[in-house]
Amino acid sequence: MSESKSISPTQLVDDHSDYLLSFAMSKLNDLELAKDLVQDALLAAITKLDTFEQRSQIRTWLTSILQRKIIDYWRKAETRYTDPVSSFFDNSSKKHHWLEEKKAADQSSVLDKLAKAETIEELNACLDKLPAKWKGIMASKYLEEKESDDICNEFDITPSNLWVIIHRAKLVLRDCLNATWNK
Amino acid sequence: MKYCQEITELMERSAFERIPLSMRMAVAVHLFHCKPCKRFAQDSKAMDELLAKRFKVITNYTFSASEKEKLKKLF
Repeated sequence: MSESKSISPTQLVDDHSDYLLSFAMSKLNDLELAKDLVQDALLAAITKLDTFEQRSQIRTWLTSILQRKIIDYWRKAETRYTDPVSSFFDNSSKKHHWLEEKKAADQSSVLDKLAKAETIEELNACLDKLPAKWKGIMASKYLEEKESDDICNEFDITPSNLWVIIHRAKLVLRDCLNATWNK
Repeated sequence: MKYCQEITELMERSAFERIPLSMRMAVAVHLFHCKPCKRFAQDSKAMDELLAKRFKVITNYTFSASEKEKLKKLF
């Protein structure tokens, strides 16, 4: 009889649910969604308690289940997105130079705004404009500092998809931040 | 001759993998001449810092007592 049988569902909720919610929020920034996924993860954990191995910490184990749920959500999320590249570069001339209004020459640089506390909030609002899958990729890259191979496996994309997505995401984010700052 | 779209893509690619010397040279030469790309390179680096900051902040969120009771009842 394994020790895991002695872990009660009630105890899981008391001891770990707030931590899991905070973890989910750091990735999703959507409270209702985060609560749903934590609930799903806890349910999944309870049905799998007998597979829990004591050599891993229960919190680590729960977090990995939640992580799986979050990735599944991102994977299933809408991935269709109008390719924004043509709204940044002039592809008609075949020279692919910056469009005049996207050069950002006369706009505040991101660097100047780095230290400002409100910049994180502004960034959050802009991140919400990205497709969920892209946000997931950004979270894996910047939150967990995962190797690109791991990110590619998780999201089922090729390495060239990966850097193209990061490139597109940064174009959209910078544009959105500039629009916020130059309102 | 490489153009802005390709150059800015290469800059991101080089963050993930080692790109050939010829491509690195092309990026360097282009950035020397092209102000908007140079500006994007700076902004891109600053965004890396900003994104790392954003994703590393783990704010505390809690379920309310009644939500916890509901959760417990599910099991």
